[in-house]
Amino acid sequence: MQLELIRTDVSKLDEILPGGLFKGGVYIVHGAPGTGKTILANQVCFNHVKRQGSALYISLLAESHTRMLQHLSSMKFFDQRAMPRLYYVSATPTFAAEGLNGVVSLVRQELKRHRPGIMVIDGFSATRERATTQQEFLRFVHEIQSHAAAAECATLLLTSGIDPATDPASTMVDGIVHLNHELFGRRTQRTLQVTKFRGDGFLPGTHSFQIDDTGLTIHPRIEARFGSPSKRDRYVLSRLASGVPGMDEMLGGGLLRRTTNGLYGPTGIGKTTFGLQYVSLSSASEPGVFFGFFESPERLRTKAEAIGIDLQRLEERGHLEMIWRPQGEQDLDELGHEILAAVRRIGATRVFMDGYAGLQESAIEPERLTRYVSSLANEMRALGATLIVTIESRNILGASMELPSKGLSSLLEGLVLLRYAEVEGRVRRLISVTKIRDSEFDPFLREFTVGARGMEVGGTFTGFEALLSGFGREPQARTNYIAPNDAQPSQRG
Amino acid sequence: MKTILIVDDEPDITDVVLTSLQDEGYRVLAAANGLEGLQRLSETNPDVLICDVMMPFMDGASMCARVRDDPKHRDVRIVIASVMDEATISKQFSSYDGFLRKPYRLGALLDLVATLAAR
Repeated sequence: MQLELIRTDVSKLDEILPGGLFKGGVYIVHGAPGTGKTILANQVCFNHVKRQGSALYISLLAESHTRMLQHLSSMKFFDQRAMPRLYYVSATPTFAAEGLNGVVSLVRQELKRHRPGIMVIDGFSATRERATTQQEFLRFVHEIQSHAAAAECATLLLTSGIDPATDPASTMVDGIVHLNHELFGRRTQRTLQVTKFRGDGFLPGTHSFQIDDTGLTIHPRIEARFGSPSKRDRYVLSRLASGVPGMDEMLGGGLLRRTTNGLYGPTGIGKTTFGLQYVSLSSASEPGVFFGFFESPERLRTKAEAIGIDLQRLEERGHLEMIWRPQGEQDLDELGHEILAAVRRIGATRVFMDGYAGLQESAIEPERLTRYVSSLANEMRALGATLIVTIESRNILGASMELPSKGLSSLLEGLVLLRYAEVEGRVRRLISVTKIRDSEFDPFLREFTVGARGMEVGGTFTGFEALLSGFGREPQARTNYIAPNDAQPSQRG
Repeated sequence: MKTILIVDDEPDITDVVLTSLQDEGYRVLAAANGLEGLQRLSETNPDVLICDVMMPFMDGASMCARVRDDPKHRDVRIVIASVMDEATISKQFSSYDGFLRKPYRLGALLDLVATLAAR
């Protein structure tokens, strides 16, 4: 007989677990004080009661549940009407008077009285401390397990004590969830990790979470969650208009659908303008998402208006969603889930992310960035989106064109370079396509302008060379001539 | 000397209430659940019973219903103290003389007990 699952409905926890907790399963929730065990357990209980179930919360702590509920009452999941179907009891007096046997007896009787689908035993580490021998403790765990299984009640044992990895009880329970908070520089990151889950697969590794008035908001690690995209990638060679006059010719007919494209260039050259024009073609059949870190939607709307684009109208019609996440202490996985949620919500095919630097700034562990972007891009492709991500070059002028992360170039299917070049004493804007996977493209450098109609790509830029170095000059044949008996190249003129 | 019985499974609450009432000159007994509470009642006849609702083995509403059914304890004044609201409590048990929503102020409890004990 297959074991039935009980959903926790706590944020995305069920995506990390194989859909929830098994009925009758016993799970250790381990974490230092303040990591969120009590909030998580209460959230599970309140959610279960909301689905017409009943839950039992047994406390072995000296702190009263009255006090705990007082703190929880400001949480959005807290609902006074959940009680008494969510039943709180203190086992502290019984534990003090009768020890482990008393607790087992209490659990047995309370399971019979309330028939809960979820049971929480808070302060479980106290039972370990009370047991005089390891055998006595293991017998206690076994008895709790037997009663929970017989009652088909998923049980959470909350403990801040000994690390379950070295705890003999860990071999007996059906699953172990660790909650942790760690300091990176001046920034704290909370993480959740499932290290054991009997019966089915779970998402391994650590997953970040936050605690606010909604309780725990969990962000499964993007690389783990979308290691395999949620849908099959249906890749067919077809094109999507870029929205920039002259650009599609350079791209061989437009951007390839369901691809990830980099727009690389220095600050101020017109990357965001490119993005505004790209999402300006959003429609009912081609919805768009503009995800930015730097400029607020208000500023972007004004900027777009100046080049004749009415973003607000597109937003009002539901064809475009603008998301702005100013840089603060954003979590990389939170950002990833947010953008994917927007893509799913609107069914976006045009996605512009401005830009890669925002992701870099959010990354506590920069070494995972390439894998992260790769997984995010794979999922977006599978969802049918064509992504353009801006990548800012470090220098404004100069020959260096290094992408900010190792491996980034290989995951980009298209790469467009925007450059400034000084030519005959004037700064010109140049554009070139350096990569379009599986397709031909215009290899020539072109000049572009940013004016009242936005960005427009002009003709091939001829008559000069070394433009990508930032300093154009007339062809080498004339300028690089070295005269006999003269070590210095000759200068023009 | 008036006798008060406090029935609550939360030891920190029981401890504070018990000592505060003793300081006020009451004789105070305590029990940690409904079954224990009934046992105390078989040993003594308190003037005021302060009873929590959500407790192990037997809840406060069931215990208080038994108290009301017992002619021996007809005159005991019952104060319900619970984290649940009064509307929810009254669906389970309504023959109480006073209600306090947890967490309550100690002063409010002492005033209520003084009023009920004086009747």
